[in-house]
Amino acid sequence: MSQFILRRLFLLGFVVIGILAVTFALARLIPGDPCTAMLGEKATIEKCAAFNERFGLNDSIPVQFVRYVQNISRGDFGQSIKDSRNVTDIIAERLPMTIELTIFATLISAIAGVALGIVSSTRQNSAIDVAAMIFANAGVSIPIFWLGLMLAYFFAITLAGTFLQLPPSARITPGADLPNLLKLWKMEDATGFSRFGTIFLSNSYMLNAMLQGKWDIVWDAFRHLILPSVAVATVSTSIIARMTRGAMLDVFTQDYVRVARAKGLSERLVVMRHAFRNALVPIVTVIGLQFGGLLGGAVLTETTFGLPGIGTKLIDAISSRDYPVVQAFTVVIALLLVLVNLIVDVSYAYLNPRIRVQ
Amino acid sequence: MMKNKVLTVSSLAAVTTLVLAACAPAPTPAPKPTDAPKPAATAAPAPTTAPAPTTAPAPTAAPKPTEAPKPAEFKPSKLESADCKAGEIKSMESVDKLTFKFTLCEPDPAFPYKVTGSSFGIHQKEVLEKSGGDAKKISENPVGTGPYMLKEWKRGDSVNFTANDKWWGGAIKNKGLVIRWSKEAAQALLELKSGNADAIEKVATEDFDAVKKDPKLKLVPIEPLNIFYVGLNNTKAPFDNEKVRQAFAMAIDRKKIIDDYYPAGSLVANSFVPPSFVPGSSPNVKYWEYDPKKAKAMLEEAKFDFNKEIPLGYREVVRVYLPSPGKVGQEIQAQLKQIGVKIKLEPKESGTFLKSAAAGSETMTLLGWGADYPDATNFYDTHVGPNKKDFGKPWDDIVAQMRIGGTTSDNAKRQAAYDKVNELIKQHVPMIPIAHGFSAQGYSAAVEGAHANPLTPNEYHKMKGAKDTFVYVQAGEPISLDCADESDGETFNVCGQIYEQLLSFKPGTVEIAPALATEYKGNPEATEWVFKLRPGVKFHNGAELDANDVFISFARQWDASHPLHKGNTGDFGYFADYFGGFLNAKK
Repeated sequence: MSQFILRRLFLLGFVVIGILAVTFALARLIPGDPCTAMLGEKATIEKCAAFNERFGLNDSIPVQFVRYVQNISRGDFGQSIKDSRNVTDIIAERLPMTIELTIFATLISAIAGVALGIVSSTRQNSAIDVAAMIFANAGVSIPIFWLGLMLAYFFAITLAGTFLQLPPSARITPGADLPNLLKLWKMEDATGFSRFGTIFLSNSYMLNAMLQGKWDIVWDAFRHLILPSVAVATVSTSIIARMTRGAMLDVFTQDYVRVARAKGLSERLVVMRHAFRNALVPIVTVIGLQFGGLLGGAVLTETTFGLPGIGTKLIDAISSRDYPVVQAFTVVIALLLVLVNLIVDVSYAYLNPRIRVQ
Repeated sequence: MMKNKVLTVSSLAAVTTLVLAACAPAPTPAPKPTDAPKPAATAAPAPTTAPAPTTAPAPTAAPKPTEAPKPAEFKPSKLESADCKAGEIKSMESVDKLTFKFTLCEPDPAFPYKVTGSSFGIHQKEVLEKSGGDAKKISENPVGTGPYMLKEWKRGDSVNFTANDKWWGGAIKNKGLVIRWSKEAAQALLELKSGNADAIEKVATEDFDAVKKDPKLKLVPIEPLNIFYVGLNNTKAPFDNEKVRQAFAMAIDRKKIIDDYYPAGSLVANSFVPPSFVPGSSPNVKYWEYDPKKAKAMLEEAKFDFNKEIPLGYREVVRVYLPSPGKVGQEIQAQLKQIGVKIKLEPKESGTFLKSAAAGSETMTLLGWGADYPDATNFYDTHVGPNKKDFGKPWDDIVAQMRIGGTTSDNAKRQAAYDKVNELIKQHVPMIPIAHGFSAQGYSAAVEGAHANPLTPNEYHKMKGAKDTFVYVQAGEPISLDCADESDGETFNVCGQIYEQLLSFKPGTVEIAPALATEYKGNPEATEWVFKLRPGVKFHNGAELDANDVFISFARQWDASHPLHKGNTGDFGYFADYFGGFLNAKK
């Protein structure tokens, strides 16, 4: 097992180099450039020449690529063209939001999707089954940005003044007092992993608030996550529900399930211990894939709800042709996807002892 | 089967959790440090930090209140260009503690307007020196004289301010300010409607009526200080023929474009500058009337090739001056088709298009301009100046008159020159002025003192919302808090709460008002401008404003070899645009 994991991690290096090369080339192939994207109508030929000179954009693309890879090998993602800040800091600021959203959305979709799937499969062709599958089909079909706006409108405006009111946007209530941990712990000059970790922790608003004992802000941050998580989880819930139902129905036809029932086991034991356990492999695969998909696909949800995650930053970086940020964020998303897939692969062996990693 | 109910219940558990989670109220923002009565500006103590919350460790995000006090002795400073090859500025000097003087190489009657620019906020000398002029360091601890002090910039989320209780300008109507951002107009409107925000910058034109009709909201109009035009390149056929350009000006129904694609309040353009720009606008010089028959006859007379397609370049970027680029392009295409002219629409990536248009490579363009300062020079000099290629080869007669208008201090003479400019623009048709687009900001009806400044940041200290903290949603995140080297409105809006300029505008207008300078005076030739500073103004760190703070704030921009001439990208674009260039610039 450990050899398998090491081999996968080794291959990860090649994946990263491939992603770097592709994103580096793609970023420069799309029309436009950082100067005109940033200065707009005020960009002149002279200004852009000086701008490109300053950021080394006048060099040939191979020269720029070699320089970039050299920097990456030293752990330096470079500086944002837009605001001259370290890209590593920006990643540490933006990643927590997306991970929080992804974890919550995955929890919602896994719990609701599996539960719906099991209920549907145990009551095949009943009214509950039909209703659940209609929900599943609708969930896959509804565009997230539309659903997000509708949820925000309903819970923030229609239900305004009631106990069900939920915030339509932002990560926490504007003006809520949650100091930055870098300043609080006087680590403004910190570098390396301690800096990255502190910024990451600081921008994990729920964890940050817990560390500072601000439980009202923990609750506030949780409430702000509800609508975006539900919006982003809808599609995943539908897919997981359908997959669970299908896998369970398939297992129900197996001989060992019939034997279990013939032995007089309770239906609960038959469903949960004999059927569900054996149906878990495809379900976990789907949940893993959905988790990975949510990481990279939270762009629309983050935009709709005004959340400071990697999706909104990536959009901003693409529109301003901020090459270092685009490249670094793409690599981070790819790494997370590969990592999630690895965890899913490893989990197979634990779920079904018959599966051995080759 | 009864046991399956357990599964049913568990499946609903997640949904129930969501509903229950919604039951608790949002936490109230922490108290801000301005609960105490406001002291007089001259005797203000050092700022206090925010009171510690109930259980958490005391935050340290509030601005550092202690910086070294200024030395008592004032030493005048001066920076000079020996040969007047560093733009229009000959020298800048701090004459005495409260007097600052600019001497120019050539007359500039618009100079007072230019110093209102958000790039020319005054920094505290010692703090600026300590930062090394680096925008990142300045952004961490910005020290100005403005009504708000930075509490914390939550990257990606919001910029949080506390009220400056030492501010010279009187009572601040709220205890704090939060500036957030959203690129999506629909999402921003939701924030406003839900009460999450007191005001929003971006109201989509299609939402204007909905906002007007909502009793809980109000729309605050902004004077249309912009121009949308159709550019015609005189070095590209068929626009190398003046008669063809004139015919095109007559063939486009500008009123129909405004009626169909612009919000109410937008104006049909008669001159290239907005009508309120006097001198500059010429209501007495009537632009070509819509006359498609005459236009067609003129084209036939000019032996225009009706079979040839003319490329019309534009970008799908929504601006106040052009809210629907694609639709307006199609409308112009349809109107010209009525007289037999074939137009090929060529939407392009924004940066590529701008670069191509500036290089004079486009044949026909849809473009526009929003005012930076309320003077005709900001429009004419940037478009039909001697080095501009947007419309092909510059016209010498336009350039000559434009130069008179831009360098004469007598307003009557300036207007006479600009009348000639407008006559020549009508004759030569480098571009067809189409519209001055209307825009507005959305406010909660409960907000007192709501206004929308057309050129400078809003003055939130004059506004009172439903809560102690005023929340404003703008269109984007600021880039840095060193606005000397920035150019976007979102960054300027945030800087405008921290830093102040020598002069400003009255709220909602373009009428000059005193700010850090109580008075200013130019000589009759408009080559010397002297500013008298307001006495007793304190920076956020307690230091007192003097003319050397003004000196360092301008000198670091002008002198390219200055150790503080660093900023964010090092462009300092507004300084170069307004004043013509840098001292000691690299060749």
